[in-house]
This record gives sequence, structure tokens and C-alpha cells, in this order.
Amino acid sequence: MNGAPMIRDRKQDEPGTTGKTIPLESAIGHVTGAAEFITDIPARSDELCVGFVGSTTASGRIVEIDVTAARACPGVALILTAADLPAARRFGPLQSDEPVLAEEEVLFIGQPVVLIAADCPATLDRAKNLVQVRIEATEPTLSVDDAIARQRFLGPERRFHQGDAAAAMATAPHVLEGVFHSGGQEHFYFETQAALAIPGEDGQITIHSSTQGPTEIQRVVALVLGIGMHQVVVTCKRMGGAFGGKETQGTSPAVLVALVARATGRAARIAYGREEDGESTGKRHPYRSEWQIGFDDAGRILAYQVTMHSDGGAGLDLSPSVLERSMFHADGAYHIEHIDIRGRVCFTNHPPATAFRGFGGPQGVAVIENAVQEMAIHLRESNPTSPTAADIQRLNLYGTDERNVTPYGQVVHENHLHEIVDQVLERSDHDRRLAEIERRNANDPLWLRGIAMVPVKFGLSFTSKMMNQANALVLAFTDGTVQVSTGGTEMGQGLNTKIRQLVADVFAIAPESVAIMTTSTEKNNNTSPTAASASTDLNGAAAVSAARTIRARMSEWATRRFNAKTSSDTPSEAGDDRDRIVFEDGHLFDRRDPSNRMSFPDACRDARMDRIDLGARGFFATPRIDFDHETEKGSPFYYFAQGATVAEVRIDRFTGELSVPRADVLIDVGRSINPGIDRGQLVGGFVQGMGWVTNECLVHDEQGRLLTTGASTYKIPAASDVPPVFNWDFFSTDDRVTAIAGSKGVGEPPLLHAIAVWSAAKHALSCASGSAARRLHLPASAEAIRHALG
Amino acid sequence: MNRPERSSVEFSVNGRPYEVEGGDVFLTASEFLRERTRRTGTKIACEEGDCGSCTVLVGRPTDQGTSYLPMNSCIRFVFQLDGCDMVTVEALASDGRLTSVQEAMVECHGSQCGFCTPGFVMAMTATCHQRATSPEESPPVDWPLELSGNLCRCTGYLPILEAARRCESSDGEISKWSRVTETTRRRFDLLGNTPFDASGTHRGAARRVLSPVTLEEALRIRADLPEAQLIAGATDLGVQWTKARKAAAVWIDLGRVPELRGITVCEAEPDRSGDEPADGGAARVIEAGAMATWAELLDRSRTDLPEFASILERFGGPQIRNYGTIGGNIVNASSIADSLPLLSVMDASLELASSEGRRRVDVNRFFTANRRTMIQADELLASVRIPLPSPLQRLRLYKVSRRHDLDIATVSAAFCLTFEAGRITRAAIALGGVGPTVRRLEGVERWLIDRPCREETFEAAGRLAADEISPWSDVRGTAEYRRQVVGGLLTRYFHEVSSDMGAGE
Repeated sequence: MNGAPMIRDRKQDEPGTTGKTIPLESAIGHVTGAAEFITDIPARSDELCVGFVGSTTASGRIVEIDVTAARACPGVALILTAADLPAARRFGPLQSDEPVLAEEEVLFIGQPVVLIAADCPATLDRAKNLVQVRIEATEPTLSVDDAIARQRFLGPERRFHQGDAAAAMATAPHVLEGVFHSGGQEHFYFETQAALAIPGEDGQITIHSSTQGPTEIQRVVALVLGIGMHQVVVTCKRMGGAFGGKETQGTSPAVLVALVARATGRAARIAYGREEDGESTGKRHPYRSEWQIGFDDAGRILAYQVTMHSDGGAGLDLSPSVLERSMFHADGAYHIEHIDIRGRVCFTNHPPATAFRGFGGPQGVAVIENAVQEMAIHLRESNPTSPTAADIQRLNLYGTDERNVTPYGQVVHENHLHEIVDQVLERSDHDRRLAEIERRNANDPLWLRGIAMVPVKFGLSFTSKMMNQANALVLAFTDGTVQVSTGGTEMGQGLNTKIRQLVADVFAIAPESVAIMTTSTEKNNNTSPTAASASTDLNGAAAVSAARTIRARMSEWATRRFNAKTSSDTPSEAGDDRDRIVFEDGHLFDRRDPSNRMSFPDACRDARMDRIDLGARGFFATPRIDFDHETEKGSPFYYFAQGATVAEVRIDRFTGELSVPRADVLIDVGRSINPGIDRGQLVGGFVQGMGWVTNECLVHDEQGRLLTTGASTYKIPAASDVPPVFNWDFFSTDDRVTAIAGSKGVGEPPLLHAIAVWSAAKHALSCASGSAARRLHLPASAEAIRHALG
Repeated sequence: MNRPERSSVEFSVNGRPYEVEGGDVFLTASEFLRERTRRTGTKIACEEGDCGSCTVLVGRPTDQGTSYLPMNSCIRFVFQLDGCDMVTVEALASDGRLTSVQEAMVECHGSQCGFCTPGFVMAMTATCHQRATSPEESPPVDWPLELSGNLCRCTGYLPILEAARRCESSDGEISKWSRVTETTRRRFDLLGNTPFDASGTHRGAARRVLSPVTLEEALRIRADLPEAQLIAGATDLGVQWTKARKAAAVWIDLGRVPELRGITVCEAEPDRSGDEPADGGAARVIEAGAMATWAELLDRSRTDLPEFASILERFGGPQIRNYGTIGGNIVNASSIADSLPLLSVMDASLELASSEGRRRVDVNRFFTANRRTMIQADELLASVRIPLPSPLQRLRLYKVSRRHDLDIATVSAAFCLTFEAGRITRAAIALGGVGPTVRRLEGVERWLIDRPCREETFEAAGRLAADEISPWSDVRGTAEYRRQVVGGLLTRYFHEVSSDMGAGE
């Protein structure tokens, strides 16, 4: 688009591929249709088609389940209810609170109640219709407000604080407060939840799953089937999109097919229909946040208090961790001396809300960005020469040498926020456009425009320390090709391609000589889900570690071999020898005598002849992270990914319809491993975030039934919604603390940048009236904007 | 009539001929590809023609070549492919060599998870192919519009649009992927003129479809089988099947009746006495066959009714516009049908045909309730006449939807007013999405007559309009929002029209 820079590679003339844009490892499979997803795997002749009957009531007691007619239906192979389950009946990533099949009560519409396996989809449909579930409905809890009124929570309240917010608030020259709502978001991965189970010998079972977390599925399948984890293999070749929606939500479909395969001895497959997926799977958490902010005339934030209540749905899932990340990001990019952050997860009768790109971070940041916009509106209402929102934001950014401790005690090291913000304001010509927009708004009867900046500081690492580990298996073959397996899963984010580049560079071979294998619990055990923007950080580092182990063995072997060859050489110290062998351009050679040289394939072949192990495991655990849950202090993040965005919106005054004519995104990705991939994450994450803050609305009826379950009712951004002027760039840093090869996580931060679009809408409304702006919540849908305009 | 009845359907996939009979003719095209031929490159993501992942190309081979159009294979049925070649993503790369579209997508990182990718590749190929075969000089491609029928959740589209621009000078490389043999072409040529009557059991139900090739035959079947449902482009019936498993036991497919196609712009008929509606005093009219597709109407509207073109560009995506018909849109009688507000304010007339004869009906009398019309069981809609606005008439059409493209209207509106000497002399106001049918606001229309063309007039009219309607709240918007929009649109109309007139008068 206009002014968008071409993808710049960092090291075009340098050897190696790390830092260069190479195509996605599966790209050719994608464009030819050859890339296989779960529903594309050819069926075995005896394969069963699996589905479930879900609850039609959000809350109630099961009075009777009648499956007689369905069971009698020809072609039906198996029908199970909770009572028929062989072992564990509940599962969950943090607590086993989620029923595999509803037991005495139903907790949300779409909750699996009866499991059915049939020989074909038509029979499955018929059988589903014949099942009768009688439910005595009880009063459902359908919103955070309901939950608070009924005191229905999942877990205790959490609190992070620093200074004395109450006291500082009491003396602040200005205090603003409000209640801010942010909406949920459907992942809308294009490939719906799917799994295929194939029974094996000796009680073993293999499950092909579209999942970000194979280990979790392995664990739960073992528990539910009552077998050992060693009897369960879970594989994932790729996902057709996930965005967090397959971190835990892939478990239920996998368990259902596992149960069928176990009971019938036949292969069993499930693929959720789009509506079924929309209705029964968890989404981004909606939030209700009470906030209060104290500040002075210059716009310095003196105190901030916020209490966030998230809509966790009817099970714990990952909600406490999501809430925790909201709290870690409640400060946005601002240092606030006196701050008090509280949070609690609410129980509601919706599907258990789950991970979604940003993982609570966006919800936390949106509240303070809303407050910042309100500060600017408030100050400028009484004095038009008061600081603008951008002035306020710059004034309050975390400092580099002081004012740099977060409310949870972590120091913001290597802080580039000031430079980034100044650059993005300048490059976007923010100040001039702001003045111009405000002038035009005063005279334009048809359109309202708005502009806003949002700085982003996103913490990288799983906040659960235990999860910051990964292992990898690297196998070199005698023809010089290499296979790599990690616990990381590919969902389009480019993990496999980045690992391919990293490993290829360890051996100085072409990336085409490195294959990234299907993720499987058979090769990589006890892995963390692919999430938290950390999958390259973790799995890439583990793969490099394994590759280096092999390289070290080969170096040692080559040293011996070259020594033997040049008998005149006196054997040298092992320490010197280690750097003696150079891997370069598909070859290895002796630095002391470059004529001692062999190709990598020859080296692999000969090393094997000399009985050198050309396979290795690598392991990585992120250093220097810790968090004490007693004191709620520590350093949960290895580093912070930083950036800032300026966005402009145009609003139809009569219908509230919004478009984004321009966005300028500047983001720190460290030293990008593959700029093409990182550009894709930047733009894709931003546009997905635009959806969240504008038109993606989850609409329920009064009974709690989700009405926006499909593409015709739930509107993700289309190509024409992308800003026609979309300037993006990577902010170059040479930070000491980064992930593998100087890179930084890039999966989630871009989504938070889209909050600038929402802030711009708020700014636009403020030009109509302060009260209009104050009425705006998130998302800023056309209807919400029109409503705010009054 | 003695004619050879066929009970099977014939078509080809990537040049390979298939003959299908029995229940399988009621499969969707994507089911046929994925389940019967194991071509799984065609992906199913939304199952309602709303994402484009299942896009394939379909063309009817002729001796001048084959013009392929993109199609959503998830909501079109196998019987609708009769005589056509369907091209899937598997056909593009030959001998391991990618087409330029595929290459551009690889190089620009146009795929991430890859699930929507085959659909994008096919849509882009279609655009390149159509441009190359179009006799006219092609303007630069409006790629967001061309790809408005395809959604992607991963890339944010920029890489895809970059890939599209990179390959737009390519012809789509039809020589690589169109593999229809001369024998097949001749065979299809022959089939094009023969009707079929296919039946079988599909998903446990007895189903039948008749496909006539003349209007006379269609009307005779219509009279013989009053319970049968007519099927035009299937862009709605296809969704009813995939989403609700709703389908009539007998379908009459109008897809091959030549008399129902075609669009002409002609002189209006003079006012005649009698019950039949005339062309409302217009000078010219668009006459469209009921089976005229949105793509065809969009093409024609660009020159003859640009205001309508701006709405039609937002009607589904190309994959829908190539198959959805104006007749289907009208007879479907939805309150949010995109074409109806225009038809209503222009007092379009509909020609209904039966084996007994023909009659013309004012579109404003045609709808009796939501999804109900005055069409009789032996009738079908043959054509529609849309009077074009005169130079004095100021026509504006509005579609308010959650998303600009590929969405269904929350509220749609058409305003056509005549101004003389600063006053309103005639007013036609039609609204969709605010009641059971698209309707004219006669009270507001009357109130506007003789009022001055001033903002206050339209603000007041907006308030009256909001009072005159009784909208509902649904997934697309609350009743309150619909009222606000209706009120606001009249004021927007004033500003737009007065700035137009300010320039001209």
C-alpha cells in the first residue's frame, strides 16, 4: 500500500539465512492445496464420524437423557453419556473442572452432553436428532454484572500495587473515573476444531489433532481413557489458524474421538461445524473494569486504580493466567508511582473463555488508554491549549534510568519507548494531522475524523515460569539432510520456517536441507503449548542447542580426522580445536589448513562410519525469570517487546460506520529472523486487533445463545477494511537481552497496536462532544458509535 | 414433446469428465470434490459462501474457448455444474511448476496458516484470466474489490494484495490448467440443449431436480409440479441446505433457460390505460431477465445506473455475484434484499409468466409479507423492468452493514426525490431491514411534497421516518439503531444531494 516499505532483509550479502526473508516452509503446499489438514487425511474404511449433542440451555439440571431411539438407528456405532465414561470425567489445564460430557448439570449452550459415533455424517445427524435431553432450566448468569451481583467467581481476587494510590488520588488536582467494558472475540480460525484418533496395539492410541498443545491433549486423553501417557501419541502437522483458540480448546474434540476409538477399536474423526464451533468453544474474555485516575494540569498521572472483572465462562480454563496478564499490562506503557490493580475472574454460563492472541494484555491496556484519552478530553475541555493525548502519553512513559519499575517490581530494561513514540509521531505527521482533523471536524456535516497514538510494552514469557521450557530433537542423515522436531506447533505463524533457518545456519547448509517434522509427543515430551509469542524463543533455542551438540561432535571428529591426515601437525589442545573446524557454505574445513575441507553430506556420511552420533536433543529454559505469587512481585518477563502506532479513523456521523484511512505502526522485533514472516505477524495481528476494537461483536439472545456463530453474522475484517495507507516498520535495536539470534517475540504485540484505532474513534467522538466520547466502550462498532453520538 | 430425458448430470473437473446420477447430484460441489474425488485442496471454512475458501473456477466450454468464473463450491450443487468444466487448485501447478499467481503468493508471504489460500489463489487466477480475455482495455485492478469474496484471518491481507499486484499482468495461465478435450467440449455442447430429470436419495430423503432448457418447458413443469421449488443461483437455497438442511423434495433448476437471461436498456413504454404498471414516466428502463446475475447487472449498471453499481459492488463477493440472480433476490422476498429498495423507489415492474400467459405487477404490490409474494404456484418471475432516474430525480442508495464488504444489510435505503425551484415535487423513499418487507414510506413521501430543500426538512423527515417504521432488534442491530440510521440517512441524503446540486445549479 502507499508508502509501505518493502521487506528489508538485514543481511542480504552475509552468509546464512537467519535474518532473510525466505518463503514459508509450507507455502508451496498452501498454494497448491497439497498442505494437509485434519479433514484432508484420507479415511480408513472403518472410520467413524463423531459428533455430540450439546446443551440447548445455558444453565440447568439434567433430568433425563434418552438415547434409545438414537442407539437403535442403523449405522450408529457408539453413544456415550457422562455415566459411561471409563475413567476421569473432568479435565482442564489448571484445574480439572470441565466435564468431558455434562454430568448432573449443564453450564452453557453447546456444552457436550451426549457423544455419538456413526458410520457417516448423515447417520450422525439423524442420531443427534433422535437423542432427547430433558433439562430443568435454572436462572443463568450471563454477564460479568450478573456474576458480580450474584458473587459468582472463579478463584480469588488478585492485587498488584505500588505506592499509595488512595492517598495520591485524594490529593490529585484532577480525578476521573468510570466503568469500561471491552467485548469478547471469536478466534474465527478458518479450520474448525478437529481431531482424528487411530487405535493402536497394546492399548496405544494415536491422535492427530489441530492443537497448539499436544502434551496437554496427551495428558488428558490418558486420564480420561485411564491409560498411561506412554500409550498416547498426539501429533499436529499444522493448524488452519489458532490464535490461542487451540491452546486448550482442542482438548475436548480430541478426547471425544479418543473415547470412540478406544471403545470401538475403530478410527474416529470429528470436525466441528462452523456454528457448533462458534457456539461451544471459548473466546476472548469480555472485561468490565472500574477505573479511577488522578493527574495534574500537565497531564502527569499521579495515581491509578483499576479493578478488572473478566468473564471466565463456565470453567477455569486459562482464565487466572489471562487475568494475571491483564494485570501485568494494566499500566500500559506508563510509569505510575501510585497504582493499585485488582482483578477477579467471574463465572458465567458461557463456554469457558480462553487464550486469544494478547492473552488478557489487550484488555488491560485498553482500560488505561481509555483513561488517557479521557484525561486529554477533560483537560482540553477547560483549556484548549492543554496537553494532547499524545503529550500526556509521552510525559508518562516509563523512564530509562528512573521511573522504570513496574507495579509488580520488574525493572523495564532496554527501554526504547521514548524513541519509538517520537519516531512514530514524527513519521505519521501526527501533530499536524491532529490539528487538521480537529479543524475539519468542526465544519464537516458528514464525517468525523479522529487520530490517536498508542504505545505498547508487551511482556514476553509465559507468566507461569514452569512453562518457559522447550526441547528439540535434531537428526542429521548421511546425505547431509537434517530433520528437526520440537514441541512447537505450526499455525501459520512461521515457527517452522524460523527454526529451519536457525538450524540450517548452525550447519551452514541450505534451509531446503532441513525439514521440520510433524509435531509429535513421541519425539518431544512434556512440552508447553505454542503460545505467548514465545515459541521461537523457546523451541528455536532448543533446536539450535541440539544442532550445536551435533556440530560440536562433528567438529571434534573432523579435528581428529584432519589431524590424522596432516600427520606433521602436533595434536593441539581440545579447547583450541573447538573453533578449528569452520562450517561454511555447505562445507566444513580446517581453519588452520583450509585445504582440509569436505562437504557437509560427506562429513555426515564419514562421521557415521566412525560411529559418531548424529542425533541430539536440545533443551532450553528461559533464564532470569521469577515471580513470587505471595508478594505479587518479581520479574515474570524475560524482556518487553515495544512499539507504538498512530491510527486515523473516519466515521459516518449518521450511521456510525467507521473506516481506517491510515495507520503507522512501528514495532521492535529485535533482529528479525525472517522479516517476511514478521511483517505478516505485524499486519495480521494489527488487522485482527482492528476487528476486536471495531466490528467483531458477540451477540447473544436473552437465553444466552450466541447468535453470531458464523461468517454471515460475525464479521472479521475484509481486505477493504485494511487501511489504504498502512505504513509499518521494524524499530531496530541491538539489545543485550533478546531471544534466539537477537530476535524478539512478535505474535501478540501487533494486536495491541490496534487499540490506537479504538482510541482514534474516541478522539473523533470527543470532537462531537465530550459526553459522546465518554459513552464509547470497546468495540467501537457502528452501532456503538452511533449510540455514543446520541 | 418427445425429447431424450437424461437422468444424469455431466461435467468435468480439471478436464476429467464425470457423469453423476442419483443422490450424488444433490451434493454440494465441494462435497463432490473432497469426498468423491479426494481433491481436498478446496477448503470448507464457513459453509455459507461467506469466506471464499472453497473458491473454484467454473466455465462452460464453447468453441471460442472457456470463460471461467469464480464460484463458492460450498453452496452450489452438483446438478448446477451440468455441461461445465470445474477447475480446482490442484490443476494449477503442472510438472511441479507454479503459476505466476501461486509464485507471487509464495514470494510475498501471502499464506500463513494456508487454509484460505487455495480460495485466494483461485479468485486471483479468475481475475487475471477474465482481464486477459476481456475485449476492453482493463483499468488497474481494484484488488480489494476483486478479493472481496475472500476472507483471511491471518495475514491482514497486505501480503495477499501485494501478491495480487505482482501477478496482475499475468493472464492466469489458462493454458496450464484448462484441460477440456475437444471430445468433452462437443459432448457438453450437445448436453447444453437437453434437459435432465434426476432423482435419488440424498441424506435419507427422496429428491428430484428437473432442469428445463426452454421457458415453455419450464412453465409446463411449473404447472405440473406446483409443490416444486424454483432454484436460480442457489446463493440462498445453498445456504439453507448447508446450514439448516432445508431443501424441497423437488427442484426446478432455471439455470439453463436462455429466455430468462439477458439485460437490455431500452426506451420506456408510454403510459397505457389499464391495470398494468407502466414505466412511471421514465425515459429509459433497464430490462433484466430474472436469471440475470449480479455480475452482469453490475457491469451494466456501471454505465447506466452508477448509483446501483455502488451497491452491487458490495453484494456478496464475485463468487456470489456470478451466480446470484436478480430474480432470486426478488422472489426470495427478504426485507434486506440489496436490490429491492432501488426497485421500490423506481416503481419497477415484474413480469410473471405461467403456461397460461403473462402479467405485469408493480414491485410495490408484489410482497405480501416477510418471505411471501403474490406469485402463484404455476408462475415464475420472467423479467424485471427498472425505470432509470430522469435528470431531475436525485437517486441515492444506502446500505448500512456491520462490515463494508461481504455483509448483509442492517438497514438499506433508497431515496429518489425530484427538486424543482428549491422545492421537493416528488418523493420516493424505500427502506429495507426495518420491517417484514422492503417498503415505501408513503407518509413521509407525502409530507415532503412542496417542502423546501433544506436540512431542517430532512431532519424532520428523518424523525417522521423513524416513527413510521417498526424495526426489530436482531443480530445485525437493535431497533433503536435502525431508527437512528433511518433518521440520519435522510439528512446525509440532503447533504450529498445539495452539494451535487450546488455544483450544477
